[in-house]
Amino acid sequence: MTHNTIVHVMNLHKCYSTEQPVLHHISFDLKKGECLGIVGESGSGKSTLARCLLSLIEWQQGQIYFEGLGLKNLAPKQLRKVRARMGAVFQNASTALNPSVRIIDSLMEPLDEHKGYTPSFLAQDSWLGRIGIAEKLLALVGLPEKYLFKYPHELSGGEKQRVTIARAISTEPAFIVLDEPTASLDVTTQAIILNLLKDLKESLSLSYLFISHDLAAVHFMSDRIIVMKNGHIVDQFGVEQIFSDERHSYTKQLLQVFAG
Amino acid sequence: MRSTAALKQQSGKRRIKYTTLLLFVLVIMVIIMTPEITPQDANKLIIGNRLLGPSSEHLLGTDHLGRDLLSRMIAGVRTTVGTSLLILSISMVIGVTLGLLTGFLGGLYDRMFKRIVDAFMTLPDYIFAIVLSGLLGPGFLNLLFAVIAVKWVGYARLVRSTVLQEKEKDYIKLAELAGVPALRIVKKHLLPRVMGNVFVLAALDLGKIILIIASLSYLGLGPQPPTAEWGSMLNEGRVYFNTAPHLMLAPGIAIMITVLIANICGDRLRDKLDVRMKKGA
Repeated sequence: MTHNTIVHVMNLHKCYSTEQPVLHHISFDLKKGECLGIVGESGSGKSTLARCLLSLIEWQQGQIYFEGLGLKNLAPKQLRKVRARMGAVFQNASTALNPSVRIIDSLMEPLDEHKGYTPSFLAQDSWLGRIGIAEKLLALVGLPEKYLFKYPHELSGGEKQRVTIARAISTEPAFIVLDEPTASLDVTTQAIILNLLKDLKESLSLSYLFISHDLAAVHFMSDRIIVMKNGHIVDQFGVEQIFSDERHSYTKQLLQVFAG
Repeated sequence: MRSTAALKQQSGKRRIKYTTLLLFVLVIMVIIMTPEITPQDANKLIIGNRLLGPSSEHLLGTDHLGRDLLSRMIAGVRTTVGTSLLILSISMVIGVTLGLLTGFLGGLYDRMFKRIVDAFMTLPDYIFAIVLSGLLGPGFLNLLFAVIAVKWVGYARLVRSTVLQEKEKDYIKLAELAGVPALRIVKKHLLPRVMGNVFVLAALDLGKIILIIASLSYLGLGPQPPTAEWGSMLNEGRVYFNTAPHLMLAPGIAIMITVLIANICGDRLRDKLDVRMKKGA
């Protein structure tokens, strides 16, 4: 683990019951400003890994260090502080927003919990009130302010996903987990969302853990790629080495399937 | 273009809807204003007036003790429907609170709670309420306790199952991630999500509770004389059915109409909230 590492996963082992483990002694690093892609078929443990990294579920063995701090058995107060530096965008934008809560309240929930905090990318507008901050956040993801007082069912899938992205960056996190953020969207909207995520990463110096089974999306977004199968890491490489002969047979198989 | 028959049917449905709503509001008004609108003292005995038929002085006649039946019927609204609403509210508060907490906390609390609820659910409402009332003895408070003991379970079960579904949704995980404390997640996200279903169940339950209370009172397990209660009035009038049928007909019809109003209101509420859920989900 170097000073440039934001997430260090060491020997992570997770079982849901006494049966087959979902994650088998996983280890990897994520560097600041990097996008680490995770690919694998359904059931390979990608989403479980994401939930462990966000400390939303517990794990049996190993440790996850976030900015040098071990997350296992962390006191709730400390965990709350750490989580303010993390963000998440999940696959299904429809379930990521409470259907009975207006967009402004969903969007501002993280900032409402950290009262008085204004993200530095909005700090030049120190006079901004709650609505002002919400408008700026929506503008960052290319949505007009009129959406603030709408309910989620009045927005399209792509628009909802933009709202969840705006919410994820609102506390200015250092690290965002993107768990198949484009899986439920049509191809055109997928491209728009991926470009938006890439632009935000550059402008806000974010680190991403990008989970997908879409190799093209992972290739477009990531600096490095990890391939998972049945809870094991079977391959990891820099994105430029994706077509190298040294690739694991399972990676080649995935590439072949994807090439059609 | 809609046919005349369809328009007639729609207008008929609308008429039923507004009439029911009006009657429901009327029942609530009667509960609130009972002392003001009762024409005579509901408990005043005038033995010389016993078993009189309807007249200008006693619009529904008098009972076997010479009490004005209309006054007793109005006083009975507060006892029967008012008690039902009180039982409904207390059952809702207990059921919703326990369902929310155990569903959200999960683990051992939830497993224990599920066993308790399952045990309660195996017992039929009426029989359990009668047994409990019988064991506790007659009286208003015992009746209250017996019916609440039967009714809270349905709310707890409904809320728990809704919470178990909702808490796995991403917006709850994201709230957790945003640092929202557990109690606020319950209050802000889960409570509003469960209340729609709870209100529908409550509206459908009101009729059943009125029937349980009337049944228990009919058996002599409810409020004791001279309190006017529709179930006990039915029982008192039973002996005189051949000579003074109005003594049974008045409370009987009142129970039937009130239960009907409660059920129609419940159905309407369910239809309305279902549409909103579909839109909002």
